[in-house]
Amino acid sequence: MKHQANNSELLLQSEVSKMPVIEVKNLTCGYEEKVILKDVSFSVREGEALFIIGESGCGKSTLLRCMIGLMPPQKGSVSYFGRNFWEASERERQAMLQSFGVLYQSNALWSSMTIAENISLPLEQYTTHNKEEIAKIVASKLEQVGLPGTEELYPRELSGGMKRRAALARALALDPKIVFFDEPTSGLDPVTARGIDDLILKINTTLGTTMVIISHQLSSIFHVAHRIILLDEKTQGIIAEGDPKKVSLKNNDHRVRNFFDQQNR
Amino acid sequence: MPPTEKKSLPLFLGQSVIRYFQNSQQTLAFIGNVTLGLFRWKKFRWIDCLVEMQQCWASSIPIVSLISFLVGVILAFQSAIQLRQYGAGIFVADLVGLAVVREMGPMMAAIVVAGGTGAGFAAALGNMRVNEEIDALETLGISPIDFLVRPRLIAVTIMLPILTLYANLLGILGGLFISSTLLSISASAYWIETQNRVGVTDVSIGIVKSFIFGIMIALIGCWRGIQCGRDTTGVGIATSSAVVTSVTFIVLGDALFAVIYNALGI
Repeated sequence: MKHQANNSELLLQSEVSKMPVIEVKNLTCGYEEKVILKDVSFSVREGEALFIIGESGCGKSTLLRCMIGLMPPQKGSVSYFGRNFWEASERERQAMLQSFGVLYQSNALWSSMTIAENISLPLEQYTTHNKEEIAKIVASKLEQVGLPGTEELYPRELSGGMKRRAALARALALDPKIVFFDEPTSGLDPVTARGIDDLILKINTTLGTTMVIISHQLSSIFHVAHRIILLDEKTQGIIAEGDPKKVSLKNNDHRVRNFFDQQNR
Repeated sequence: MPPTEKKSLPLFLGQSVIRYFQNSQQTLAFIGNVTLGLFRWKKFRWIDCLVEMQQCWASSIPIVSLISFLVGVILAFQSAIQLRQYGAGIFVADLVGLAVVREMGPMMAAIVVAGGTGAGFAAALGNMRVNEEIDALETLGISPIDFLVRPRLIAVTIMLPILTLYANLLGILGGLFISSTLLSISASAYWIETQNRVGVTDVSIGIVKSFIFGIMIALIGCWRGIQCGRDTTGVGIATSSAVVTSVTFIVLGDALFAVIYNALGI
């Protein structure tokens, strides 16, 4: 618990803007006729690391899919920098997509391409850099995530933790203002998971990148999160929101207590 | 486990009809997007296209060689039995040449490519869907149509006519082999008879077909892959479905071409 609220204290100390970069308003989403989440509203401030937590099936990934443009909501809106994503024109949406990076649970590295090609693809698509400049950016991104010299390797040649780092390097390729993480430490051993948490924290504190992280690893939450929102399957919405330490210790709602007690076992 | 909800017949039928129209709409949207993608050449990755062409050629050539040669052998063998009774053994060259170049060559090459390359497209794209690789493209604002479908479409559309020409040659050689061994027709006589009977129009008819078959195989394989669900069982279903749909459309297309060519008198 030594690291509890470390990052939230840092946030208070830093000059973080109060302006929300992400605003989710009355969002209802689900599959076909089935509603998973109903009237969910929250916002994320610039430089904040927000954890979306909850038990399996509560709609964390569905919410993420709605936020990153993979699934249109049934109702409500998701806005980036004050602009509604789902009502934006194709060109505006394209610009918004370039402003955020996503780290997928499965890493989603393109298996037929080398690590360098994986990272350089967004740069080739959206920048006017020449090959040498792109190679330099790729090397610096790999250095940043602690994977120098792996440019010519294929994803299949990397370990689970290395793949996660390479996927993070790709997510950071365009220097995004927001990074979404889907279970960034799932399937990793505790030491590797801790390394990934440290890396996320480092990026958040040094670059001021806004982060939205889906997770249910308490160690990650207390180590990295400024704020958490807890989703509940039955309520189909948010049942607790705030500083992770305060929510875990002071919230008396039995569903919140259950979640933290189960995770602590 | 929650009890399975029983649906009334009208509800079931209604939902099935809605799903059918939604699927049709999605398929048409896919075809439309691919068509529009053909006009977006900026930042086209030729290397992906060349890799797909190489794979299509390498995976198809052994089986196309075997099947085409054997089809030529079968056609020659069956026709030789009948024709030599009338002393018209030399016409085996005409029959084999026309049948192979106009029908069997394009169809056999297309079926082999559908079973190998088309199924491979569905499996590759299906796996990419399961591994969230397609999602990763979408969230980067990169169109999966432009990045994944277009190079494959161009690769197969170029390679299938080339494979068809090769299949035609092997089919004719199969006929030549039987004629020279069974009917004692010399290779030069067979070849001259084939040249006299099979014209550029006949070859072109087969090539036009193979071009259209190539488009169908690539679109069906890629569409089944992109449509694939998010679990691994979906990949198997997408792959087999790609083969079945492609072969069905190849045969239907061939029948349609027969009607059109007949109407045009060619």
